[in-house]
Amino acid sequence: MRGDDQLLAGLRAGDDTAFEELVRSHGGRMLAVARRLLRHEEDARDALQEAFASVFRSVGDFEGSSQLSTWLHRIVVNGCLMRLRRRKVREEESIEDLLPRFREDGHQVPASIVWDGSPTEWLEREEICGLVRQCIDQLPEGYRNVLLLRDIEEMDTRAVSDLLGISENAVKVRLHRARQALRTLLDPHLRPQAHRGAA
Amino acid sequence: MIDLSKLDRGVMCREVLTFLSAYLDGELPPDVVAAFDEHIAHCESCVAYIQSYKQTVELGKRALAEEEEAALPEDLLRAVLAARRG
Repeated sequence: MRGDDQLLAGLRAGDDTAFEELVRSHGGRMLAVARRLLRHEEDARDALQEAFASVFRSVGDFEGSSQLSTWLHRIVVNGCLMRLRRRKVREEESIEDLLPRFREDGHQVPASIVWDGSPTEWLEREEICGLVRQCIDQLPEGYRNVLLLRDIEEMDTRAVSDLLGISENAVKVRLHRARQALRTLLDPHLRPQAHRGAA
Repeated sequence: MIDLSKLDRGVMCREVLTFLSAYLDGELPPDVVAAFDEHIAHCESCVAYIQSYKQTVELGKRALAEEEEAALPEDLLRAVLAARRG
């Protein structure tokens, strides 16, 4: 396995083995990124092919100011977001119903209850992993994308702001609301048994 | 951003939960942090909410990491490389 510099030199020289190494070493992770964002197997595969085609065309322009993997990740995410924009045919649903509610005096209603267990215990149960993914998929798309890019793909606020064409403050607000909405969706399943059905 | 002087009734759950992310990220001014701390010290609901909010973030990260990559399917690898050769 070559280091980034050697691999990049091979790519720029048009070396077939360098291209194959790039696809083999990063393709699996990039396909996982596309699957998470697109939630559609064929679209994810198409997006990955397009992303690598774009990398092959533009590797000569890559300045090397970031890691090769970071550059590739950005190209994949950007391609997926463009696909999502093309796919969008209906108005985005509101997230308001999934945010905490308050009485006139500012108290939360209903009051929150400590969840039963810990993430490590919950994640040992396959159905909880599935439930979390399902709940993320239920978020309105504009919020889901920010949650995925910030919390899962671990991109910073500025990078997400650039990719989505919204302000950094809007990224922060969307991320917070997405987390709150996800918490609301998980709450009936993770609160103590005695309190279920009482939210 | 939050202005304490405009809050007649002081900081309540509404303010804490609305600005929770900024609070946890250390982005709020010291006087606001102190007011939030004071409310949280007496509010079981906010304590429970903050704990479950942090757990939500961790769950999201770890549940999706579980479905992290397998190796790229061989047919897709071949298709990607074939497209380059045109």
